[in-house]
Amino acid sequence: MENLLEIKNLRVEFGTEGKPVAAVDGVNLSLRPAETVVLAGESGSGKSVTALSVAGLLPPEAVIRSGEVIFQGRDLRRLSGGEFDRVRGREIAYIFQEPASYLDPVYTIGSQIAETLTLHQGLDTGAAARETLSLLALVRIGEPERVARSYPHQLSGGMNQRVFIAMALACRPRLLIADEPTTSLDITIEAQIISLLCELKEKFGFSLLFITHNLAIGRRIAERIYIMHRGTVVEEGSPQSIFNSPAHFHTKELIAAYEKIGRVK
Amino acid sequence: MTGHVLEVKDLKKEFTVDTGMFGLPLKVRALDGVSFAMRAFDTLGVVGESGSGKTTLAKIIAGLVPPSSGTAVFDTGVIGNFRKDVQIIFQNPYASLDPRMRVGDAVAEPLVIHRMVSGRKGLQDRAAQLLETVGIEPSVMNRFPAQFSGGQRQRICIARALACEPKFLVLDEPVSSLDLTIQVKLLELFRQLKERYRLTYVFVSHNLGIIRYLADSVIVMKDGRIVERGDCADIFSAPRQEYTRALLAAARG
Amino acid sequence: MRKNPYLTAGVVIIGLMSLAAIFAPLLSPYDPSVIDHANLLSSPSASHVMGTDSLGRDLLSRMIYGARISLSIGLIAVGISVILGILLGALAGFYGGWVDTLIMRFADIMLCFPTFFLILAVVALTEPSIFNIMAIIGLTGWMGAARLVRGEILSLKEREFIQAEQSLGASHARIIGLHLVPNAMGPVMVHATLGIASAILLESGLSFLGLGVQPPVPSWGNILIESKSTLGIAWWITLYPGLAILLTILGFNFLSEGLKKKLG
Repeated sequence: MENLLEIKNLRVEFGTEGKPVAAVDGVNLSLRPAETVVLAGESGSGKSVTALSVAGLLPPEAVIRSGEVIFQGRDLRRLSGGEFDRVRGREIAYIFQEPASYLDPVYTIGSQIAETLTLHQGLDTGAAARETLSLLALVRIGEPERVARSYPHQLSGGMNQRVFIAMALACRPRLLIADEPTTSLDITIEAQIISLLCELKEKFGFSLLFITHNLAIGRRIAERIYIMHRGTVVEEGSPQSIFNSPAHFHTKELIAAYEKIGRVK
Repeated sequence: MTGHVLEVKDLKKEFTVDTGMFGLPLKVRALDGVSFAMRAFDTLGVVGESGSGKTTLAKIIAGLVPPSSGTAVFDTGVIGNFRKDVQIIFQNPYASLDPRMRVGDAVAEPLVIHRMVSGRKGLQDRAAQLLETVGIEPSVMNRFPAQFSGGQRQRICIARALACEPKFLVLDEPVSSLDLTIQVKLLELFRQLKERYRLTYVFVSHNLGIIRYLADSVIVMKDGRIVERGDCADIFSAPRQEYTRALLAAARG
Repeated sequence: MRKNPYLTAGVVIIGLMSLAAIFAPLLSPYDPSVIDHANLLSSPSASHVMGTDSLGRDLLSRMIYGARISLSIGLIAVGISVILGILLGALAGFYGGWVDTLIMRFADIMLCFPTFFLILAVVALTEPSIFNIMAIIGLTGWMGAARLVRGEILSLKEREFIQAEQSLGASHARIIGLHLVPNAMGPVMVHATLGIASAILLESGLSFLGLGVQPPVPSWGNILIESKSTLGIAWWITLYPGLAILLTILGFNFLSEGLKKKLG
């Protein structure tokens, strides 16, 4: 089976003046179609930067120094701006930690989802509105009409995250990147969102790249786990191999933290 | 006072929220009648989700917010000088330090406020000691908060709180915004400090794993009320209430 | 330099003017009050770079000493208004309630008066002197700084580090003076820079009307008094003071833009 995503030797630097700092320093990562991979590590390990590189969402101060990001056989770095825009949003979707910061506060939820649909799928207003409601129902939102009429600040964090997931799924992406989407949510909501993501993945068959600092999630949903530390991948394997025989000291640290407080017996 | 260091009786807190130009102000009940008592040297875990009122409770106990009704009374035999003996650590280490103050000065400030030490050298030495206690190299005393990570800043806040030589610490989700590995290190520190300085803790968290790790007794909050209370072990092994069971189920994944 | 051109331009212009003002006795070629009947209203030449006025006094020298007067009045007047503004704004922001209402309504009332006419009225009643001008401009200009400080403090008050200070037992004075005000200074600095420009403009206007700095002490405003009667024959008396005022205002505006950018 061909890999959906292959990252080879990625190096991303920050800071163009003075001495640039490598946030990601030689990362290799692969993802198969319909696979769930968890990318775990502390803040500053480079996990978010790696993911942002795939989606082409790096901030202007960041530069991809070297390496390849191959998605469905094409090196994303070689695509033109226009081509990349079509890939991102349609084939690759990204969900963030604080959904409310990425939703426009002056437009209703419905209009924002409809905008994605018109943009990427060319639907007309009527079709977009109908599809919006069915997407909201898909992410298990009880009253889709009410939510579609609401503004982001009127909804809870968990609700906003569901909306964001709905937007991400609008164009049936092949790859969904979830960057710590539940870190700022309550535990019961976190559990629901994670279940939802797994369900949707079963249903639509996309690949899920889930980024977190808590190995509990890795244990729960991952088929494979990558451990990142200071810009490189230090260990990789199935949850069993990671938990039963961790090799790198940082993996052991993450497991110890998980054992002590990341889960409840 | 019957051997309790803190007695909370029927605490209620209402906030009035503006609903824009044409709406009538809304009354939000953050706390709806909370009562409990704490023994000295205990660690009370306060568990709840957002909106449960746990942070409001913490702030009222720490004397930062007045209750609408009800009382939170400390044993004056133990807690003589409230502002010195009761301290609070906040959730957000990035906003808890004055950005324009060097960390050495921030840690030494309580010593000045409570006239505990005098003279520049005395203050510096004591601040250095305190920083060392929390695992920060004293040589960085002249740096500004922005030059430290979240975990380090939280340690600095702890050093500052310890400067008062407190007896009672209110910890309002002090590690929630940090990485798990850093959380564990800080929790270890809290444990050590409790032993070493004979402290009493109120520890607020939505993370059941942390509560289990640190707390002696637990109260579970929902919608401004206590829905279950008991010894830590009992709550985790035999929860009685539906809500507590739901929380545990979610945490167990 | 390229990163913040406004700041650089502002610093250069005001810097040069300040140096001229400070080193006036060294830089000015003549004593500004020396009357020379032989050279009345002479046009700019090698010996009098900016020409002379109707009493034969060297214009360049008067301009340099004028810089001293105008800049110091601007600085001190704004100093007074900023200190007053910070004090009142901090009290209003920190205590809220009736203190806030009282102070802010007072500010609103003061803002209703056209400042210039208010100053004219006061000056007409009292003696025009440099000290009076500084005091009056200062006492009528505090409202802007007060509002800014109050605004900053209202938002800073909710930040955890202020609550931490409270729980440590810090007194109100300590919290306001050591923690709130220093963190609120950014916008005030920008405002103050612009304030100096308006103060200088105000003083020039007053002096031009004869109600400000009194001759023989030179101020750009009162040098311009002569321009009314000499416009056709001695263009330099109008041009140079006018240019100086223009440049100064421009310089302070640049400085304020540059500061705004720097303080983000």
